[in-house]
Amino acid sequence: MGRDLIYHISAFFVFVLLQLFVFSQLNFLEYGFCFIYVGFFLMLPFDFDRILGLIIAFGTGLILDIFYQSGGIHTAASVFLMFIRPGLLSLLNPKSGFEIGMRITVNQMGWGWYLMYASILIFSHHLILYSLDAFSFSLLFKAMLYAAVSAIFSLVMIITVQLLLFSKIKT
Amino acid sequence: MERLFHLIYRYRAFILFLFLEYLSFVLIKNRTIYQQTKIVKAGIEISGRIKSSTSNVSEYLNLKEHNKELQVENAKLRELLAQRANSPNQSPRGDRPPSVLQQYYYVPAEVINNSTNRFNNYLTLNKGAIHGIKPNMAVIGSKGIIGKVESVSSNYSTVVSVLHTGYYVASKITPSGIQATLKWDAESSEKSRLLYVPRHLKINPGDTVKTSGFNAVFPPEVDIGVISGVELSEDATFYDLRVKLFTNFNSIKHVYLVGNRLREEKLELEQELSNE
Repeated sequence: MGRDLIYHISAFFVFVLLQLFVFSQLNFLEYGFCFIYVGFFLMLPFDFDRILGLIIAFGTGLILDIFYQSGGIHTAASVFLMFIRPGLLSLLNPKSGFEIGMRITVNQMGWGWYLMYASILIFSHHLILYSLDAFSFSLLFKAMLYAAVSAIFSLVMIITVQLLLFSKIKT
Repeated sequence: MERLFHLIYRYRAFILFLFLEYLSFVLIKNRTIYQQTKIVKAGIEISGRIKSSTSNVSEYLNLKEHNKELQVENAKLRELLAQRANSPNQSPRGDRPPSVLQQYYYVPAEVINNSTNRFNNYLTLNKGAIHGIKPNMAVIGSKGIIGKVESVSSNYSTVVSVLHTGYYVASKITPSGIQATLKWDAESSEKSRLLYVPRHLKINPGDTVKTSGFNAVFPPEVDIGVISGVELSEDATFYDLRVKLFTNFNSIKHVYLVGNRLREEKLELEQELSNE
């Protein structure tokens, strides 16, 4: 348990600090923006307490909102992601079921499963984020375009960081 | 009663979810109020430090271009100065107070963070409260308007860019003097829109758009852009006007913060009027 805790706390720091220091001003194809901090939410254990999860998502989102001076859009999007995550996990339940202590990474879950899981969560997070930023129906289509391009960027970066830093640690 | 508690317990995650989403919406809606709080100011200070350390690198890459821009601006100012010195009918200055003679004062600043690809864009500048910066000061670049100061920490300030879908700028079309309102439509970082120009007026593409100075943020006659597209549909009350902005928002580095010494007085007077 103690090791798990260190693992997730270090994931929090790696992803949030990467967001603040490296990806805070990086653009991709003009529209795209990388929200790599979402990677931390994706890696939380599959049986993580729902209440605690929501509170952590709220806190993380608030840090980002204060940094980007963006009101509450990161907070709203993060809380939404964390709320739908348990449902999605039980929906995508692998054939053999989850094992205790299993980590949600590309290595352990396989590429197909992980891409499905991560892209759904990342896209819904980004869609909420950009729709709230636009705050009007006339820009909704544009918000979807921004969300899609950014989601690809975030997904690639999250998987890269995960393979580089979080794949060798054995449970 | 026990059943109620059971119900609440069963749906506790959903209830908490709704509550937290409600809180975030309150934060979004009251953005301007909560931007003045201490914690957000501390956030601006910290993010300002981080951003200024990363922007040092990119600064060297664009040094040549920025130098050129500043030189062009200097030439323009020298020309204006020469014109003024030569003009015979200088208005007598008399004993007007300095706040009237020099209503606007300028503070140079550097952009350390800037976005153009969001729906509501902001900039961060390396000047703050200790340099005399206050919320609602205007921000202009060498080519034209940029935005207005939103919040200020001790060393940094954040600026609402003209590229913000909720920000309106009182402007006018020159030389005709037609009043209009500039508002961004998130189409492109080079273009914006002019609203509320009634259809009976004649609009020429290529006319310059400048600030009117009516909203006490920008001084009058600051360049905004040129009219690049004029459309008028059959049943519309107003024109559909596009403005090509002079400022290239993707490469701004050196800006001026403009303070208005008479702003308080103007607002007070207008407030009195609306109270009656």
